[in-house]
Amino acid sequence: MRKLLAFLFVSCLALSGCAYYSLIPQGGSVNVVGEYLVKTDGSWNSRSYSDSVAWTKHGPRLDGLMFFTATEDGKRLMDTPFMSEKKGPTFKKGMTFLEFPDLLNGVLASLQFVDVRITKMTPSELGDAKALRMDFTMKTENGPNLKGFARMANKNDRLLFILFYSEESTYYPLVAPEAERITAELRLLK
Amino acid sequence: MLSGKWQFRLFFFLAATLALSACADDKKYFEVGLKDSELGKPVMTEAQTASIFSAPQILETYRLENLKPAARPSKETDEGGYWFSADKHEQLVRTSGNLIKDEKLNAYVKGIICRLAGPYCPGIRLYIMRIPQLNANVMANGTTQVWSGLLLRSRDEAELAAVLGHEFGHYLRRHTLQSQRHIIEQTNMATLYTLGAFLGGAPAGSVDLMNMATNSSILAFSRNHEREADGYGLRLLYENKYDLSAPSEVWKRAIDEGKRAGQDGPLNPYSSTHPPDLERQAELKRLADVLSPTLISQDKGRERYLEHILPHRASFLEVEITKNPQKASLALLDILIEDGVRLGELYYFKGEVFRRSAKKNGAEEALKFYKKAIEAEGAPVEVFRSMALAELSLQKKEEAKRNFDIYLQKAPSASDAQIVRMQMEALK
Repeated sequence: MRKLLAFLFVSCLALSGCAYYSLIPQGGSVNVVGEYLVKTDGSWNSRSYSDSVAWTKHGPRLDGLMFFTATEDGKRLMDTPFMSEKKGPTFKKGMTFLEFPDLLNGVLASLQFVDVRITKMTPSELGDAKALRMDFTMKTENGPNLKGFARMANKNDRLLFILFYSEESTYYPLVAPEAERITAELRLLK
Repeated sequence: MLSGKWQFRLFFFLAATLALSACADDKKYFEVGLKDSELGKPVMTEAQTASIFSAPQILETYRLENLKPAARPSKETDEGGYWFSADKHEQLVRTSGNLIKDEKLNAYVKGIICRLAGPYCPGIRLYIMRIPQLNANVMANGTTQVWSGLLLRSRDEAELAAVLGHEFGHYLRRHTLQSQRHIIEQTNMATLYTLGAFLGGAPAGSVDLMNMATNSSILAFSRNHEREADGYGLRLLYENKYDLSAPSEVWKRAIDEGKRAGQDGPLNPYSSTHPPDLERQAELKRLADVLSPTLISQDKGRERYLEHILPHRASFLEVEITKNPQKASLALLDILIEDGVRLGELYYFKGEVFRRSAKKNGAEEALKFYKKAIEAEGAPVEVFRSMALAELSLQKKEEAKRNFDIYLQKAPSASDAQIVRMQMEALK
């Protein structure tokens, strides 16, 4: 009996390791990374990383809405860049909007996106914080053209950062409107 | 009646015989394709290469006329299988986000490849990739990749041709096919030995020794291929009257860059796929010194090269400093600065490396290089914005305002002009 229980325990542990996506149900408010209160229209799949939570509708290769944990002065935006020798970019308190494109480029490079081009920068908001919105295009090493936008804000010497991207021709028109609404209407919890 | 131990050994022997007979079938299968005899001379060993002392010897050793680079092989052959893999890879390369499609640059690099490849040019398909490392490769099916890191690090056309010639040497000699066949032969022998050792009750460690010997043989084969490709690369430079010192110069700077970047770890000559860098550089120099007196003129093609590469250099450098660690970026920039071409651009990027770094004195260091950039030729207009940002982080608000102002005067419709104006308002 004890052996059977041990086997079941180990099996459950192993299976829970596989189930790293959870469902964000349609409608309702969600607390994301302890920083944002987000209202959803449709459902999303959610996955947590050490430095962010990534939502996706059709899989991370086709679309992604990433909420980064707030970055303190002198800390890196990404602790664990994927397959990259270079560590993620560092936030320094007092950084201005003009330095945010460097941070965005650094994060996207760490995520292995290539040919990143920031096409537009506009003053914007993130909750009640003044933010910079950056629209961009980029590609993956295997080619699909992606399009996206990011909002970054420096609030109380902490960097707030949300990123959306999607395959340009088919999935961006499908997913971007909801991502736009979410990022425009979210509330800051701190 | 056999004991249990012998019954097991007999069963194992029968199973192994069955497995090896399948390999024997494979051997016939291989011979439907390219026969080893068609590959020309066997690969040169290190000792054989070292015994070459005269120009005629070099030209005879690395003969071009007997080579038959692959025509598309039948799908039924092992070579056909490698081509199939290469074709699949090419599909990914063709749609890669790293692909540089600039027509003028592609036409220029393809021209160099065709000059080297001669009659084999139609079989080569070029893909220039935005990848920040010194590399190029030619696959069995003719798919040729040239990485931006190579274009950035070559100082002239002869140096680019030296690396392409080396890769083309692998292609001409069908090294992929030779290597794969060698690996199969060696691993089959090792399997047979393991069986014999098991049945004969050989000491346990002997199988490990056999495995070590197998791996060592495979790696030595690979090193010999590299030496051979070096030789063919040099021969192709000779045929096309390129500067023969180019290959050793490329190696010399690659070694130097690695050292400055702290990447010069010890290399074990028995467990490496490539010969030690210093040995290759010395050998290439030796062969070039022997051949050089027989060439009347040697072309570096530096002006042609710079004319085509400089318009893209800033975008190549941006990828280098975004993707590579700070020490590696600085090593590359310092070596480029020593070459002295369009220094303003290089000092600007050196400043960027410091400004974007996590170091506390990053802004101060950056300012030193931005100032040098402005004094030198070719600094991009963005240097004024970067100076202002560095000054801002050092609380030098008046200087920052002045440089933002210069930036806006020089680039009034820049994509970040609105944000710069906002920043200037905040400074009032």
